[in-house]
Amino acid sequence: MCEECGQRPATVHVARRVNGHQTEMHLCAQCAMEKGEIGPLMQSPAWMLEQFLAALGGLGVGSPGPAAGSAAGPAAAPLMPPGRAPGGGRCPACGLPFQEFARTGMLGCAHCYEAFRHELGPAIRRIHGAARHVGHRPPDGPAPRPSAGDRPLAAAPGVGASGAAASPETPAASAGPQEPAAERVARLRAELQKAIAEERYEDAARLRDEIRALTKE
Amino acid sequence: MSALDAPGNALSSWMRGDGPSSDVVLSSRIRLARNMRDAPYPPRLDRAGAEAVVARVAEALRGWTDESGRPLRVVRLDALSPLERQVMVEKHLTSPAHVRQAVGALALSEDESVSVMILEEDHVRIQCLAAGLQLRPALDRALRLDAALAERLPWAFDAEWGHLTTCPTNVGTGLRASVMVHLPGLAMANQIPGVLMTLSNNGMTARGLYGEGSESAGNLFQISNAQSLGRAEGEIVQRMEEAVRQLAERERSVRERLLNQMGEALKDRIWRAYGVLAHARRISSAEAMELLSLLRLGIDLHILPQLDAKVFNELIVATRPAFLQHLTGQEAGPEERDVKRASLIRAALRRAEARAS
Repeated sequence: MCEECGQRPATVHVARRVNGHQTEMHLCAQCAMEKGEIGPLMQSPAWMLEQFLAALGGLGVGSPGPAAGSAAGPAAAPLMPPGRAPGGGRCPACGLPFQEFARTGMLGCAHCYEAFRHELGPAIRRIHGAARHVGHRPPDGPAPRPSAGDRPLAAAPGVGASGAAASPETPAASAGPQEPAAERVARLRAELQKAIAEERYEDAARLRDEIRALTKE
Repeated sequence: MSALDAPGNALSSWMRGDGPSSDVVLSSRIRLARNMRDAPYPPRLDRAGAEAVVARVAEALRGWTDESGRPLRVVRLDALSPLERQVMVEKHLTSPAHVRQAVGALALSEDESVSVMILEEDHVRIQCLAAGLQLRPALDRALRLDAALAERLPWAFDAEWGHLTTCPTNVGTGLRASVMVHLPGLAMANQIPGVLMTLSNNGMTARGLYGEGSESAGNLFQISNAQSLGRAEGEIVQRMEEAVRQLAERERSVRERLLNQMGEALKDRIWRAYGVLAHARRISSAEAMELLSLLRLGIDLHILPQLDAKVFNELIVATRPAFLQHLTGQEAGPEERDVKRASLIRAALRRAEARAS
């Protein structure tokens, strides 16, 4: 039963750690929404950012997690040696320290994506549920890479260093066996976009279902 | 004041109350986030760098015209008074984060359906607005402007991650598609939480308009896509249109059911709302929104035949605090504002009835 209204069944369970001790609430969906625990906050831009920072933190490369509201300053136990070479400490182009990015979620320039590619990859995949752009590209934009076994930097020699400080399960390893399916999905999505653009909606529906089946696994 | 319409015009063309599914969907909005690869992103720009970005984007926009052949007008944020900036936010032409920037600019089409925020969170945010459920036409318009800019500005783009935005939550298409919906029926039937959960499970996010968190004023909600990477623009928009059409269908059937079940009770609430709005001498923003929502429901259910939907759209913007001050031309206190708001609503209702008769 919902602790708030005492009328509807509790379907939402909120566990929270405040100042070291655990509190739990059991609420119905409506009260949870009214208290701002779920609903509109789910998948809102702020929520997405929080998830993103959590994903970065979870890799052990960021600041110690975005414990909501706690002002974990830059002094708080960075797991990464400061000033580490590309992929780590700072963006060589704009000088943004990785630690600052891990706190704000804001990048300093286009080159930050290259500098922090290894750390960004798994976090981007986690919040978008996808790892590859499909859709419009600018006329001077680079074409999609031909094969899927191309996770740059992650596979490059010498960057083991960036994983060394992190957890032992390097994110790159888990992507391996799924590559062909991912590639197939990417191709289907491209076809789907074409079908939509050409208003072939029956084809589009078929492709959509096919993609859905593949991504459900 | 050059950037703003004639005083008293709360209604941009895209808010006139027409367009597909306009009984539920007030407006559609497309936003594309873009950055240049050879300049630091807004959080790391110094003043000189920021000025340079504004100048480059303004130059790149020069010569571009909308479908009716009209150019965009570029206004620097520091050329607007704080009040004018707030009015731009209430009219949804820019964002609270944008008007807080020290250096920035806003480009606007004459009918206010196309705007470009220069130096918001990203270097460039293209925004296109349309009445009713028209995400696809708005997307096409935004992509057309994007294509023109891409020929002149070096967009930061990556083969794997698409457009490289300041915040990685927007990478890929850089697209956020949103619709503003009015859901008085579902709200009365206590179905909003369920609706929001369903949307959330389908990769969409909904929040109350003008409210924080789950609070909503006037039963108005904004629904947007949550993810920007991994789906083509057309597919993101098509999925949303499908979901919103279903939502509109559900709202309509709930309204019908409420009318059948409540009958006179519902009519009474609507006529009472009309009575207060038509005669009150003082009204707060919150009360106005609540009653205007009932008024609009009455219009859609043909209970208030003497009014059209336009008056609702006009009043939800015109009764916001900053717009009201902009109209009255003075920095009014809250009590004065409540008096002014009531008189503005009475006048608008009289005008609307005159139009209809």
